Amino acid sequence: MHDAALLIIVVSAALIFDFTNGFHDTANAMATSIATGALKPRAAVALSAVLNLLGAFLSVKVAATIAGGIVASGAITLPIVFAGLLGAIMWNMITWSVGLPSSSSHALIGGVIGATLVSAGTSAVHGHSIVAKVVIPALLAPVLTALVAMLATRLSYRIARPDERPRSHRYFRYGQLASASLVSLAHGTNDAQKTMGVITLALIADHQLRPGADPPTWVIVSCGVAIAAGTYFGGWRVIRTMGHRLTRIEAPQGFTAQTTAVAVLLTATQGGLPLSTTHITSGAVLGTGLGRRGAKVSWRVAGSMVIAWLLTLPAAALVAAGIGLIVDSGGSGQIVVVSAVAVVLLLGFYLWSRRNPVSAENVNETSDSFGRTLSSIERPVLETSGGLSA
Amino acid sequence: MSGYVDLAVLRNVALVALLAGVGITVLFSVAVRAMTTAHEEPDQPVASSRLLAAGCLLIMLAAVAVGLWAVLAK
Repeated sequence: MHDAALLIIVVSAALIFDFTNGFHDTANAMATSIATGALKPRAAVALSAVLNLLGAFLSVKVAATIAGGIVASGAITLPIVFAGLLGAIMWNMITWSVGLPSSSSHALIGGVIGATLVSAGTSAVHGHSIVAKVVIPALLAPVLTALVAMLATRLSYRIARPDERPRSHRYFRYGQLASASLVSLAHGTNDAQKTMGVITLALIADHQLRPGADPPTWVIVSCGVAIAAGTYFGGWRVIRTMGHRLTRIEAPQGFTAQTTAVAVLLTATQGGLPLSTTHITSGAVLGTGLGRRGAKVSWRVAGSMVIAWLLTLPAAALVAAGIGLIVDSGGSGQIVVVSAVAVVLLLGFYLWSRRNPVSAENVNETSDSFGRTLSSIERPVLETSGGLSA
Repeated sequence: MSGYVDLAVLRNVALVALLAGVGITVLFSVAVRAMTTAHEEPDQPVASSRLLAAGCLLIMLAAVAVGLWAVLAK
């Protein structure tokens, strides 16, 4: 296959990954705002999409360092990038279809590791860096955020006394507009750049850019637009899980969860610790559920999330390794066939999800279209004063 | 674990995240308490409640602005 055609396929796969990253992670910023009624679902995803787009233009520091230290940069070829991206896309679609929040970044890293392992061998994968940059932060981030969120929630309820002063819920919902916006901005800054980094790697591998170059403007724009479009598409299944199935969220908890998530995310970024937005926001929701007196946490749902987190990296690596075996040794025919199969699988995931659709209209309902109760812990109670339009 | 992660950095991140997360939430909660007091307890001095709320929100905004600046300027 001509290099230009392969490059177009790889860039397309990267933008599709960016799109899945957007709709998979909409819940990180907006699930609690939608659950508490601070924002109407469509307004929430529109606001998040705009801020993700804006965030994509704020910095290219993460893009410049993506995959640095994880695998040997000299081993990266276009087929490896392609296989890694497909592995990540498939894992994102699987977890989305069952409504589980999982880290798109870990899926991407897992995909690149798996494809590199089969193409270039174990020597091209930097195990020490993977433990330091991926595994340890993944274990620490949710625990740290949950502890901070639990303490903040306890103090917040003690000070503001929202149970005795119902009007305070209204003020906390206003606060959620700001805190959710900050999470969206941080998400756009971090996650859009990861795809920019992948496309930049592909351009370097294809000798279109010199090593160490910053992403070109068209890459920044297209990645920003792709993640914003994915965000606006709305990952309603994951939003429902984060907003209702893990614990019942009230407006003060929503504000606290988002604020602590932003605090941990920005502090860790400043300290050079690469953390997953998904792990941080999930930990914050869990912590705020533990922090409110009388609130309950569904440990069954929390356990499923943790299992998904643990599986993300090896599962994406496994899929990418399989694809890598096919495309690395083969020619253009294999890449075209794998691309076609991937498109069919993506369509299959989408059609399968249509059997039990979750949308902006029913994201806050407590049972699915089969009549099954989503959460056996408590029925969510939304404040009746309505949402705040954005 | 110290062979993989700089424990001093980790401790600093945990400490600053704790202070920022809890601090901003507490400031906003104090502001909310003051605003609901001004609204629901009219016999209390309204001006001082509103001043307290405004002060807390300003400090909060300043903390967020400094945090964003520190990250983006890096």
